Amino acid sequence: MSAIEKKILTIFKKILKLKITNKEKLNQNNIKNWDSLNHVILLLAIQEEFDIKFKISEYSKLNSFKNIVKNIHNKKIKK
Amino acid sequence: MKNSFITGSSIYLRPANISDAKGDWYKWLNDPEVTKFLTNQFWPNTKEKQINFVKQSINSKERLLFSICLKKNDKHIGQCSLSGINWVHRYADIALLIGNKKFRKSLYTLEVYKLLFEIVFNRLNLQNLKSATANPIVKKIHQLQGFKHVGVYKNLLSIDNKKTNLDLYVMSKLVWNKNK
Repeated sequence: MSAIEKKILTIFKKILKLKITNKEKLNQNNIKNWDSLNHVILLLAIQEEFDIKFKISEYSKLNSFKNIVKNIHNKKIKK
Repeated sequence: MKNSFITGSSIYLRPANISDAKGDWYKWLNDPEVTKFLTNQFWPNTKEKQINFVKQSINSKERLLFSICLKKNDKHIGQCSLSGINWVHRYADIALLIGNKKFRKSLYTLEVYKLLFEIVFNRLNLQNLKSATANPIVKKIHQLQGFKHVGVYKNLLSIDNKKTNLDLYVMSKLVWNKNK
């Protein structure tokens, strides 16, 4: 697991009160707590942790651990 | 999709009509869970009142009413509007509700905002979008979107017997262009 993944997983566990940590299953459909409020709190926490800003057009697509990691990798490469 | 005005990935917005007013819409505004943070919805609502409201809005140049529908089955799940549209100073007020309980906690809310921003800043060429809210979820959403917090009416509202602030926000076209 990469450093980025570890940091995101820590945020996921804290906000979504996760028990499962199988990253393949970490998506909005599988996690009951992942509602609109927690989605927003999650994105705000990730923005702060990585000093990045998600675009308004990206919010709905950031609905899984995998998509979020991919998005951050892309943003870090562009920086 | 039926008469879509703007389409997103999961939902679309279409002009609100009399049939919507005759459907679940008027009932949503009798649900305390929906109206809890609204500043102007405390009288009992009826089908007739809702129909009148739509009739008054249809030819209005200051208010646009949209029904929020799911793309997959055209299900009507909520309402949103732009009101107090000022064509000289080019601003409007935003309002949004997901009435159908099943979808209230879904991510559709964020998509509705995205579509409304498109309408406000691209199609209508307005310069500022205002929002006044006491809802903690909406406040978080505004923080994420980049709304500027411009003021507060301290203890203006009484919600669940607690004095509650009404916070004021603005999204400018400039900021939206940067964040979209």
